[in-house]
Amino acid sequence: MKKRNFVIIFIIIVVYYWAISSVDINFNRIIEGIPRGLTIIKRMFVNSINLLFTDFFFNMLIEMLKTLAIAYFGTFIASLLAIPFGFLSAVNFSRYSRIFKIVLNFIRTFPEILLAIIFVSVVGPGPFAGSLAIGIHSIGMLGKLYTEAIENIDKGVIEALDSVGANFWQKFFLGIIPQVFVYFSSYSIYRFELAVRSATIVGMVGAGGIGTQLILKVQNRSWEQVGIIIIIVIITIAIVDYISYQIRKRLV
Amino acid sequence: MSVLTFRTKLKIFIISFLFFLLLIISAIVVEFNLFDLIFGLNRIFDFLYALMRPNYSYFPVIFQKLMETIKISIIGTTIAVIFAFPFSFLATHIVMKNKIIYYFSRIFMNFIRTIPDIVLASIFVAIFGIGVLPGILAISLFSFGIITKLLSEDIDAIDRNQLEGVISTGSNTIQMIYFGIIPQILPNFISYSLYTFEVNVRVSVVLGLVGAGGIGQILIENIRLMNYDNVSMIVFITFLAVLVIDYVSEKIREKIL
Repeated sequence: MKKRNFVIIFIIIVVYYWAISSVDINFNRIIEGIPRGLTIIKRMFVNSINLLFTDFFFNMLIEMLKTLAIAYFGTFIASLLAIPFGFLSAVNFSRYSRIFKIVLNFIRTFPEILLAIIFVSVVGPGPFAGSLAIGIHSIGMLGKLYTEAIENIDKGVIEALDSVGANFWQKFFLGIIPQVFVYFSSYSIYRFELAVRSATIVGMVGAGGIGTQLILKVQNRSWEQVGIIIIIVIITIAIVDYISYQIRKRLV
Repeated sequence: MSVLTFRTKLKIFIISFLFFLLLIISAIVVEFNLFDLIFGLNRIFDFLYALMRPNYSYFPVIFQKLMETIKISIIGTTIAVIFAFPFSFLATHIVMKNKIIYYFSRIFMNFIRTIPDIVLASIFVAIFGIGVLPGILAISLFSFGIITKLLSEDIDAIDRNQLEGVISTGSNTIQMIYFGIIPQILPNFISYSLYTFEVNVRVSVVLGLVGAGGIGQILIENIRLMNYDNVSMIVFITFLAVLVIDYVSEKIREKIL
């Protein structure tokens, strides 16, 4: 036991030595940056009060609604496309479940911001590219959750339908869908919560909505406007989280 | 369907009506256009085709940048862990009797968590200039939010009996935390730290896009220059690295819990 602890501590020390020794951090830059950072924070959250309820503020609210639409449409695409993936990677439905699980894993690891860049080059910059990126990326997580729901269904119901001579589609619509529907919708609503965050992020590479505005204002160094946007985003996310939590609580 | 009462039917109707109404509105807002998608599909196939032919000779550059990404995550996560551990005691009912500090720290924690990591990174790039430093800071601040959230919820849910036992011996707050709370949450704490590290490797890939160092930086350069064979190699290597890190970290977490 003692020897094992010694080995663990040794490994930790080596890892940290490797990480810290070769990273170049200039301490002068930190010291120079601190006063600049404080001014920026003051401009973002104190001076920005003047911008409340101006035209800019209401325009940003509209952009935020656009971002919500991107998230909604993207989640809708994903929750449809994830259904075949869910069935194809469930052990009790497909012989190739292992392959499809790897595919889902790959989709999940593929950064959505990269997908957004790809779709911007495919359909041109704008919210459609953003919702496609979110739609494809969300398949990874939704597919995985759907798979788990499908793998956990009650076999008895299907056997009962078998015994009355139901065909494949009757079994599917009467035996399986009613069992998984609640889970599917609950997961999709949860995924929508995350998609609102993602929609803000993919906006930063030109996929429309409030993210695009945010990155523009950051590049212009107009920190008052950045502050307003961040506050709008945070409050919207809090509201969406709350509503989605209430709906999911009633569903399950 | 005769099993359903009129009220349930009405409810189902209203919910599906709202659902499709929102769907149509959002389709209009996002400028949904099937033709754009169909005409653009050849570019997706170009990209997928390039993905099949990675440029293996690009590996040394990627490896160096990947190591930078991992270093950013290690240092960022460590800073976050160091600050998150004491802070999460401020955000719990059990330890923090002062209501003002309690609510203030909870609001602060949630506030940080909602700012997207890439926004934090671009603000830090504006403050400190391009490089690994803004990446590290963005990751530490973001992970700080995650760890304090998870940990303070755990502290709220600990076994009170054990804590009361420690209190009944007349211990002060520090002793109470040390003997009554820490032994109960330590495994979870280590597990959360590893989990955050896992997430951070993925996050720091993205942070490079705004100039915060690491593999994201060469990723965006190659996308802009349309060197899809290099992009393919980067995506491939990142995927492998993330898989390996997830696997190792999961094994360690299983051992701890």
